[in-house]
Amino acid sequence: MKFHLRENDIQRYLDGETDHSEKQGIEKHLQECTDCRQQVAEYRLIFGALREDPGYGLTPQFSENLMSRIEQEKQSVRLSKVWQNLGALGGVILGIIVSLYYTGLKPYAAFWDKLNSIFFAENPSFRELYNLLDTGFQSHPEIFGGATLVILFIILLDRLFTPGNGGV
Amino acid sequence: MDEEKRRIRQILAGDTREFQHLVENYQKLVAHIVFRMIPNASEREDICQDIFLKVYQNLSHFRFESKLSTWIGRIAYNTCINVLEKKKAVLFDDFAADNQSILDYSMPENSPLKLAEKDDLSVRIQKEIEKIPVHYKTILTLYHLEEMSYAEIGEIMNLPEGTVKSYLFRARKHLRERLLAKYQPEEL
Repeated sequence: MKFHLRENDIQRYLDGETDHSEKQGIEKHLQECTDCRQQVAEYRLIFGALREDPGYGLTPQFSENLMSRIEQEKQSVRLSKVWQNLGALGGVILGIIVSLYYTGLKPYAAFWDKLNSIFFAENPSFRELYNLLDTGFQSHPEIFGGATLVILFIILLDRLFTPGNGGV
Repeated sequence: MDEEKRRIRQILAGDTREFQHLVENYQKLVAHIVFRMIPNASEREDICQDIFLKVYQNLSHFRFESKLSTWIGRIAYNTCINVLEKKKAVLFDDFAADNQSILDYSMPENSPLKLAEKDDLSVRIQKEIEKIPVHYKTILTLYHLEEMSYAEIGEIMNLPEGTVKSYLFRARKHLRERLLAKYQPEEL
């Protein structure tokens, strides 16, 4: 009974993945079998064509266009970093003022009273939350104030010095 | 590898000229992946730009655990997959459904395309490759054109080596069948 090579083995043979004895066996079979020889020849042609460059090409200005796009992106990132850092700095300054106020230093008590009257007067849930926090602040103001300062300091460091997070 | 490290350090230090060299070195690889995977010709160059922009933005995360070519190849492949997924393109289609098109395919014998095809086996094969599912044609490109190993292809496409081998075998078998369905063996 005549047998034929499996396609998988033909492909492995052409890829050079068969060991010495397997390769010898295949080559011996190919000398005797026209059908398999034909199949090997077809695959050889296909493999050869697959190795040919299909001629995919980018325009000659590709890398220059890309570099100018990168420059634009860098500038817009720089600008957005400036705004982010300014925002973070403003937040920290505001946080410090709030912390100082609740730790007992109330340099602008009248201002805070005015602010509270604007934000809390019309909203009962804000008022309840404020009362709850205020009770806490009054019993342990140093803990709340200190914790706020530490958190804000960490946020500032993160914003200013972590690359890819708005940092430099 | 040391030379590559030095160049990457220079790019990270702000040397855009060095990055341009990197682009010139790897634009062929990126173009091969993008042109094979993205059917819409007008999108291809923009996608190549997006890929290199990602390379530039993420170069500081490259840990030298793989070849730079494999890392860039993976970015290119994933970018193309995202584009195709947004368009809801068929990615892992089986060949079974596609076989019907072999029978349906007909083009006048004297059409310019047909005449051109007769002149060049390579053109015929390129045309047939365009019709096979995207993962298979990507594997054919990376293996035969870029001469990458199964491991490198697996790394780019996030597939086990065994799967890469199996897809490569099926893709070439299918390609041969498609060609023989249209041409006599002596025409090849």
